Amino acid sequence: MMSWLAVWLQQIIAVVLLAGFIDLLLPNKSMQRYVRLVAGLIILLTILTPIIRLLQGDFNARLDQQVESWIKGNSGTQYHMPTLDDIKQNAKDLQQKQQSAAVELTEQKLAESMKEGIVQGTGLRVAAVQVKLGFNKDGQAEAVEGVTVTLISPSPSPDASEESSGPEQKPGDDVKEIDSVEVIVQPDDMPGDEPGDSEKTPEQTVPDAVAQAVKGVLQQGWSVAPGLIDIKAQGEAGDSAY
Amino acid sequence: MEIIQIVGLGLVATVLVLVVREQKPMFAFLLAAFTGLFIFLYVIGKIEAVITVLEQLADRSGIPSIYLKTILKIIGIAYIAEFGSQIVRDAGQESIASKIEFAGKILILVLAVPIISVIVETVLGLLPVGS
Repeated sequence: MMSWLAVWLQQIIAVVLLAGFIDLLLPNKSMQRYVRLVAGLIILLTILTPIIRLLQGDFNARLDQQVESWIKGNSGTQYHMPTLDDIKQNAKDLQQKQQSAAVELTEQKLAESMKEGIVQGTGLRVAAVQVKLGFNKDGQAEAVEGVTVTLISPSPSPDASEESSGPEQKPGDDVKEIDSVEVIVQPDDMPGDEPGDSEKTPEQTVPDAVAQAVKGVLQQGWSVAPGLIDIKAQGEAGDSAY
Repeated sequence: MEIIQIVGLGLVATVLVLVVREQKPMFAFLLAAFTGLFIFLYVIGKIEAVITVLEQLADRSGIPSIYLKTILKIIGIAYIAEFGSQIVRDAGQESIASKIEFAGKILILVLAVPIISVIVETVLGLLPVGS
């Protein structure tokens, strides 16, 4: 009991001394009234400490927390006032996002139409077409930078040929030729290839004629330079069995 | 004997200001402002000793550090606002000087807000009606 009283008194004395110090340190009269108010509040709080502790437990933590939140709230409101630069930055970000979305959409559409074109033009079965667009300085899509065509290696089953050449028959002659070439080359590269790990196993080489046909279609339809076109073949799951 | 140096500097600056003011009021003001700045910066380093003593006092008596922080911030705000307003007042802009002082007072009161809110909460909790 005695020690507790001593600590309390010590605190009060220290705070009063502090208040005296700052009264001395203060530059002029007009500030003094305000500072005295704050100092008085602090002294009051120190004197009340035992009562507060009795009523509300540890109030120091709460005071800390309150100060913290007050300061944070203050800086938060300051931070939320956006400067012109912030707004510009935001606009740029949004624009970039929009552009990248647009480019993505374009790539998708291009890929789709290319896929369709290849299917129609050559009668090959296409697993996927990936289009990569290049950008100019403003971040706008400028030109096709690369096309990756993944062909499904046609299995020799009659289904495939029917499927490919059946519904649409535009350039009929080409289709036949290419088909035949494919079939010959097919078995050489097939064994032990899974569609998933195309990284490890060497890419199946696509017969030249097929590649030429695909490139021709793409060059005619979309004027993509042949050098930018990358053609891969993908073994079908059924094929990899043997 | 630093006080002699400072006073000497002040006297020399005053004489110079009085001389120059006749010809170029602008330079007189600049001279006064820089003299003030120099003295301020010269002495602000010494304040560190006082602050150290205050910190030791706070440590030993176990008062919460938040009090000391608040008090030191108040002193800093008061000094800086006072210094700035005096320089501006020297230049003859009484109204701007009073605005600076006003800002200083507001910032000091802002520092008191958490303390006030804790006290108010305590008092409200003290009253049976309030709880």
